[in-house]
Amino acid sequence: MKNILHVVFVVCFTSLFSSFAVAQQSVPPPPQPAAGPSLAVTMQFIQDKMNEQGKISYTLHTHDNSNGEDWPVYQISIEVTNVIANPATCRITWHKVTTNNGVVGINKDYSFDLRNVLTFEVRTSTYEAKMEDTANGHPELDKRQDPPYFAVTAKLRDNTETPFFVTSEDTANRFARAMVHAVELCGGGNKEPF
Amino acid sequence: MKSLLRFVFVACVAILFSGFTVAQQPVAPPPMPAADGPSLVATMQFIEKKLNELGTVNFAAYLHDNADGTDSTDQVGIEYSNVVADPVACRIAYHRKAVDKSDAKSMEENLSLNLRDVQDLVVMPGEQRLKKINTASGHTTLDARVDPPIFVLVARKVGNQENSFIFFDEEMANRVAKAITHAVELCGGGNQDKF
Repeated sequence: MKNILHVVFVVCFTSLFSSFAVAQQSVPPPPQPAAGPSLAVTMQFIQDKMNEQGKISYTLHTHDNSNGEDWPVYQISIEVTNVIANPATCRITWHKVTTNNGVVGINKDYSFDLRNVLTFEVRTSTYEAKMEDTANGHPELDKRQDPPYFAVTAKLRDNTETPFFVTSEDTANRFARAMVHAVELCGGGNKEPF
Repeated sequence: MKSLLRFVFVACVAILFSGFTVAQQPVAPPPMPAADGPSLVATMQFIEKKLNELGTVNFAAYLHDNADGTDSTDQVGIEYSNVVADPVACRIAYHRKAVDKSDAKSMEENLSLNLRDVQDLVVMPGEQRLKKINTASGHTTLDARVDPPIFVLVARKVGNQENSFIFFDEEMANRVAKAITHAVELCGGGNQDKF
């Protein structure tokens, strides 16, 4: 709103004195507000979509290609709650709880600064698990989630990744678009020369 | 047959991910910045950062010999470290450790890539890279599947020598290839052939 007021003021000021203007060097127009929804609206969308996900439950099937064995089947759940997307700080905070056959695994708060994001990638749950296992030195494991879900994975400046899990591909793509827009409005994104 | 496959695979991995050190050459004056694009210093910083971020690239390779139908599996880890991209010397130096977890063998080397020797760069899927190497070594019946998919950036040099870097992210492999290509141009390398 402050930016808009500033633009209105500049326009009025320019009009007021235009009749007295003499030849001058051309001045670039004032910067335009970014196209698309405001940061406040975008962050609200992100917050609502993350909070709407509720608990994601699936059956996990694992096959070890190094010896041909199948692992026991696990019942997994992931639940994200208390999501707050703050447009003033460009941060998203949330609480995540995971369970494996009813036993709680992860149970902690997370925080995420949009200014540190380079890119987002929408991945299938199979691929997300493959990359996580590979990073842990186990590329030989194939995992299948039933039902499958999707991950919107942020790649950060410190060469780490943060995944956000959603149940449908459509929601994942919409969520990713909103995140990319928020990152742009917050001044993040890839500024590398190549 | 399995041991033969293992031998062929280890040989392939050694070639696939190897670099060839070149004799030291006199250091030329720092190249002039190109009219377009980032400076050599900025370009080399980008290359150094991205290659250091590779860290350890783990993958599984599943080999199938179409001649006799045999299969074998290998777990490989390639670690890149201490990457230094020197804009004055136009050289990228790095340490590479290759581990075959299937038989606990490893190989470590200090390698370098002199940008003035680079003819061209190409990015290809891991399967394509292995197929070319297997074919070149006479093992045309071997098929390899790499999981997760990897993309190999190959810098081809004079004398049919190569340096290669492995990425999971194809886009990043292409970005680094673009940066190295730019650095090669600024350093006066590249294919100077008439045709």
